[in-house]
Amino acid sequence: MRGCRAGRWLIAALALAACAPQRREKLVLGTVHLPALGLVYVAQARGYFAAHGLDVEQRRFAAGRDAVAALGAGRIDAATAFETPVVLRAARDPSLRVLTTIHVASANTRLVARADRGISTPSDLAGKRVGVPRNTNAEYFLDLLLAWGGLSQRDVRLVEVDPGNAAGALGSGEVDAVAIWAPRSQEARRVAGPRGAVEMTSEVYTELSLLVTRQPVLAARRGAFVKLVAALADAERLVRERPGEAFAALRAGFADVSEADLAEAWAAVRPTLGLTHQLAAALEDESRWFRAAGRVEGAPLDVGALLEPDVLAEVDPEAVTFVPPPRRAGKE
Amino acid sequence: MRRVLLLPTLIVAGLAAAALALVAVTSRSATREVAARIQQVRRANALAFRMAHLSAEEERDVLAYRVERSPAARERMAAVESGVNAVVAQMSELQLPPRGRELWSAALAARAVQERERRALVAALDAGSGGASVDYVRWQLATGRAGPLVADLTVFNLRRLERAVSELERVRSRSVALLFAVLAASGALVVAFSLVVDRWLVRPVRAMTDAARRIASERVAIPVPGGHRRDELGVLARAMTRTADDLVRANAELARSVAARDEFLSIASHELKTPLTALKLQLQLGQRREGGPGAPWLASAVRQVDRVGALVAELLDLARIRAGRLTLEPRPVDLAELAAGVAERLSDVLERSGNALAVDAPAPVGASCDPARIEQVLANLLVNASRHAPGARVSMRVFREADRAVVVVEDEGPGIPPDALERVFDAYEKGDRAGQEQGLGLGLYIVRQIVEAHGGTIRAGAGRSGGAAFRVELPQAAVAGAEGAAGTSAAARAP
Repeated sequence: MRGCRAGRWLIAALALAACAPQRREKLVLGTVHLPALGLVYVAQARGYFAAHGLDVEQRRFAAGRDAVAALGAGRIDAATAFETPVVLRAARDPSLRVLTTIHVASANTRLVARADRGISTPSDLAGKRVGVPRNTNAEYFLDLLLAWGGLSQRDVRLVEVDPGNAAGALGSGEVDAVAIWAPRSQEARRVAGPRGAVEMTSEVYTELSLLVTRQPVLAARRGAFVKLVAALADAERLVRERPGEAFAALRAGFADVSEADLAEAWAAVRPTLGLTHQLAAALEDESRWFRAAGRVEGAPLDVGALLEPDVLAEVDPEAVTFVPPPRRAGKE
Repeated sequence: MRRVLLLPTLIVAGLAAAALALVAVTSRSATREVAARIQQVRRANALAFRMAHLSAEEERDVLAYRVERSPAARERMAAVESGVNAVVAQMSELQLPPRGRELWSAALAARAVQERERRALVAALDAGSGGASVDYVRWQLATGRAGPLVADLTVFNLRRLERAVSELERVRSRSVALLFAVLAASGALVVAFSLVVDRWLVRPVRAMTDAARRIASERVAIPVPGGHRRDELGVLARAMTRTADDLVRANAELARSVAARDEFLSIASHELKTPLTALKLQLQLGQRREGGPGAPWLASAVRQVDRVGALVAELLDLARIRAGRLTLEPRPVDLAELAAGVAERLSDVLERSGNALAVDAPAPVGASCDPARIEQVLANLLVNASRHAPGARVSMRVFREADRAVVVVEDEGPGIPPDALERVFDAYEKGDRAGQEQGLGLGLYIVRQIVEAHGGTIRAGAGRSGGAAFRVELPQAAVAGAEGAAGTSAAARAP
């Protein structure tokens, strides 16, 4: 009789253990509140992180450079940022690892100019005051745009602006134009003055957002990063197969942005996971530019070491099309 | 029964055939799919490489044209442009997956910008415009953007190829697993089928065999197992049961008939013996009154009475043997002397049939036997020789061999066919003279029974001259004048 009672208790305990929610692995992700990073918000809204056994805590930063800095300081486990802060950080921190892209775009970051200042082409920027957040992708974008117009940074008056204050600077007339990404560019467009705004994009600029971490963190928590990337892959699949549902999920994360602005910004990006030659080329181009500008010192960027293909390859092998040069094949 | 045997075989064969067909179809389909993918990948890669090559060629041509605006460089650039258009047209015919389409679209967009800027640069150079330097910068910025995208498309195709090969491997593994599963299932089915066959066929047949053996050995009518079954084995079991019943019943009837016959023969022989003895005494009395053999009819009557008496004696012996009442009074006897006496007694019989009898019994040979019965045996063998080999030489040899006393009666007649050597000792067997023989065919049968009742043996065979030879062996006994082991050389030649 006693054995029978013990057996019942054992069965009950096992049943409770089976019914109890499984403990999810916590991961702190530094993000920037941008539609271009929409895959993160879609995954969060659709519960993909939880479905993969992750408890993702998002910590918002004003810009990717801040998120990457927090990653370097060990305050977060991973960060999302555009390519420029990653290039700059990689020059100082060889342990930085890019796990995947989150989006690719060429028209998300743009120049918004006041029409009343006689600016209609890039060459019209000569002698104008152009606001830009320094050491961001917007600065690199602006440099390409100026070169397209036959200018250089020396031909314009660069004004350092905070991303959150870019629209205000343009509206107040502090600057004649501002290089900034959506949705700040949309805010700037609305306040560009009585004659409206002129917007310019670059066909030769490739904007990318990246999921990055550091090698020690990756080595210690590789499983969690595989789950994180798998959840983002689920979000990418949803965007590709059921874009309406994906946009609805995105809306949940951007209640502060109008639906029209969000739709415009979302249409300007291609949410995609990948480690590609396109990414490698963009990173190397920017690295060379920053080195030429004297912003970066030390050895040239080792893209083969920076890109970490194993995690994404485990989730979606076809997304990894970057093949490191043979001399770097034996990287850690 | 037929279904029991046929159905599992059909199921196993059907399963194996279906599995093989499935494996064949799956493998064929997968192989075709992979082959198609490989073909697509090859074409896509070839086109991507072609695009990269054309871009590099164009880049060289533009740089050369910037230095020297030669018509040849313009023609080469035009050729590159048409080559690129051909690549684009061919690539549009391929069915690329979504990611591949995205990569190709991005590469085409970059290529379009590069082409546009090239044309602008060439136009500025042709016009000798001072703005050519800006166009050159734009062309430089646009150039090379498509290169990484084409490389990505190439690697992506290779990844697809790897995946196709992996899928093929998975299909192969699945096919092998399926085959093993089918083999295991077939094996299990065969084992189950064997158990069924054992339970439904082998065991019942064994039980029926045991029952048949018991019926044969015990002569009893028992039900053969399996009679309740509705299949062919049930039919067979019921038929065997009925046949066993019939056989046992017939056997019992036969035994009763034989017993009745033997009883009749015994009674008849006894009843005939007394009047025959009286008749013979009266005939002999008549002969004495006439002072000799008497009239010929009287002598003939005496011979006929003797003959009938011999037949009656045979029948009496047969009755005794069948009833197990053949009694012997064995004692040590000199077989040589006994044989010589028989020869002498039957000399006139042999003489009438023209036989010359030679007795070879040089020394006493002791045997343990009933002398009257052994005399009957030897007499029977001599009479048998006179009947079957009239006019032939007959010999009778008596000797000792090891612990046996041996008598061999041999004639120089036609002999006994090999296939009849054993049959001559059967009751009512008359050999090839059936119909001509006047006896009952019981002589040699009785001889064998008497010899074997003594613990001896008798064998028929071919004599030295090809005639018939009968070898009688009896247990040896000590008699006066008999030696140890003599005459072995003679025995070696005996049948």
